[in-house]
This record gives sequence, C-alpha cells and structure tokens, in this order.
Amino acid sequence: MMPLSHSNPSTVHIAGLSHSGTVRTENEDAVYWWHESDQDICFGILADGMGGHKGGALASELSIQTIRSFTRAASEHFQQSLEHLEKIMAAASEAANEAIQQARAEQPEFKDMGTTLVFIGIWNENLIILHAGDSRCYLLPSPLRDQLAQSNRPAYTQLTRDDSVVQSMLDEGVITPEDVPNIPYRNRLTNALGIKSPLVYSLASHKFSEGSSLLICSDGFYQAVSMNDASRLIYDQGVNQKTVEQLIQMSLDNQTNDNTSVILMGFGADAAYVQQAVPSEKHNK
Amino acid sequence: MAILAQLIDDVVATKFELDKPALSIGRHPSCDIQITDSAVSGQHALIEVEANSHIDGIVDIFISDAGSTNGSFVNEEPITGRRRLSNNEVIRIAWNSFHFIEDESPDLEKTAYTLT
Repeated sequence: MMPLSHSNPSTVHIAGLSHSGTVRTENEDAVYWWHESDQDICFGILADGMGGHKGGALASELSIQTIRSFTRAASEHFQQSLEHLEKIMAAASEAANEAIQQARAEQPEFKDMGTTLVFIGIWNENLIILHAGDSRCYLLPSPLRDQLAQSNRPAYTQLTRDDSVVQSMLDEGVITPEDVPNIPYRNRLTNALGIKSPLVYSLASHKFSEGSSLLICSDGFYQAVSMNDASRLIYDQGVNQKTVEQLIQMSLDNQTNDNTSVILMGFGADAAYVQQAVPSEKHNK
Repeated sequence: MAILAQLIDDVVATKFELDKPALSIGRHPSCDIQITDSAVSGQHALIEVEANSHIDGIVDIFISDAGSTNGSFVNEEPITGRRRLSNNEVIRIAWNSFHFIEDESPDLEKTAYTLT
C-alpha cells in the first residue's frame, strides 16, 4: 500500500498480490505499482503472461520493467496535462510491446509469448486506463456504498472490455453470458502485448472521485470469484493488504485453475491503512 | 465429431452423429433424430452445428426448442433460447435423455490470436 501526497488532501492507497493458484506451479501473472513523486503520478500494472512455461512469466515481467523504465524517464518532462500523460502511457506500452516482440524473435522458446496488460495512471483526480487482453479493471464508486447495504444490486462497473473470442461471440449474439463458464476456449484472446505491431489497445480516462476504489484482476481471479462477493468485501473492509489477501484466498478457496492476481486502488478517505509500497516481487507468491 | 448418445436407464442405446449444419429432433418421420414417443412433439428441438468464426477448426453446437409441448432441457434446465452445448451435458427431450459428447478436449492454456 502506498500513501501518495497530492496537492489536495486526497490520497491514493494501493495494495496488491499475485498467486500461482491451486493448479499451476509457475506464476505468469505480475503486479506492480509505483509513485513518480516529483510529478505526483501514481502508476499500477497488472500483467497476465502467456506462451508456455517460461515465456509467460518473462512477458509479464518484461512489460513491467519496460513500462517502468520508460515512464520514469518520460515523466521528468511531464507537461502537467491529461493528454501528455496518456501519450506517455501509450508510448511506454508500445515500447513494452516491441520488447516482447524482439524477445520472441530472438529466442525460439519464447516465440509464442505475450501478456495482457492493465496499466493505470492516476494524476490529480484523473484516472487513465490502458488495456489489452482479458485482465479487467472494475470501478467501485463511493456513493453506492449505502445503496449496497440496502439492496443486492451489483455495486461495481467493469471499465475494461475483454479482448477475447468469447467477448466477440457475446457481442455478435452467438452465445449468452450463461454459456461462458462452459466454453472450453474461453481463454483465447484476440489481442495482447507482444502479438501485433503496432500495439492495439484501448485507452480511457475517468475522474477518480473521493471514496472510489478500483479492482484490477487477472482472469484467474474473476473466473473464480463473484464480483458481488468481491465488491462487498472491499466495501466492508476498505483498500488494504488484508482485503487483497482475503480476495486472493477467495479465489483459491474456489479452486481457481489459473494464476490469480489483484490490485486494489482506493482514492481518498476509504483506504484505512498506510504502509510503504514494496516492489512486486515481494507480492508474488 | 460430436455425438448425441441416447440414454435408456443410463445406458447408451443409440448414437447420433452431429454431421449436418442443422438436425431436427422430433416424432415426425422427417426428423433427423426421430423419437417415437407420444410425449415428443412432431418438431421438438433443433440442433445447429456452426464453424467458429474466430478459431479455425472449432465447431460450436447449439440447441433450441422448436415450440414443443413438453419442453427441452439441458442438465434439467428448460431451454428458453438458443443455447450452446458443452461436453458431457445431458439433454432431455420430453422424457428422453441424451448425452452430448464433444470430441474437443478443454483447452485452458491462454493463447492470443490475431484477428483480421
């Protein structure tokens, strides 16, 4: 978790964890976050690698390393505008895309590797989400907290759209949401980092309002845990490491068959605990 | 190739290969899968076999009820629309049960494809 001092009294709190899951021994997911203190920009990344035993883990780590290096250098020239931050994030992701493609070309054992990406940037009250693949970002808006206590309505919004065959079939009306859990190729993606050049991604900006939270997760998490259950826990306990650990445990208890990863981001007073951020390696189990 | 295996007392009695784009199920002699049971409607249900437009070599199989009197079910849930069938599901046509067997094994490895 990381307290971030802004020019206003608001604070961003972050907690995250990645786990190999109940079936796999290798963890191809990776989570990472950091604060560019001079520019007061907070970044977070969740990447779910693919492409074989070693390739998947390399692709997710390579994306994080490349993006972090790129943004660190580029942020020194940050022009204090939302548009410029979007450009930095897009260019950093393209650099990661090229790095993965280069590794694919140079090493035959990595020829099929790639990774999903959810790349978050928070500056002032602006939230930018760059997305490719089937990892997800959900918004848990603050005003729904009281409504949630009185109803069973879902108190979350999915901010990203999966780049997957299943999502395409849903869009075309070929299948229904009830069909999805039983489809054997539900993990087939239509887009990811390292697969196409130039990188194809979606980029969206939102206002991150006081009391709101973000849940960023890999498919190993959301395929095993109901978002109603997850959002209820987050609303009850706030954004902290204990909540993240409990979320991951929910996916393990539900026998997730994939690596499972979560990052929580809380904006403002909702985050109850303050700790120093640590590198993602220490958050990977 | 996917098949429907008719179950009588949980024993496979007859196997039907799903080898056409559309197969009708019902009591009428013109049906591809004919069931001579008065509880089964003349045209009871429809099976559709479609090539997946995103993944080469993958076939999706769907079932829909054709307005039958006594209903069609998958895993004892009534079929209300067009439903994709998955391996090992049990289809019930009125009181006749079929086991759906798909020859593709589940593929849980994440893979990325480039769509054109």
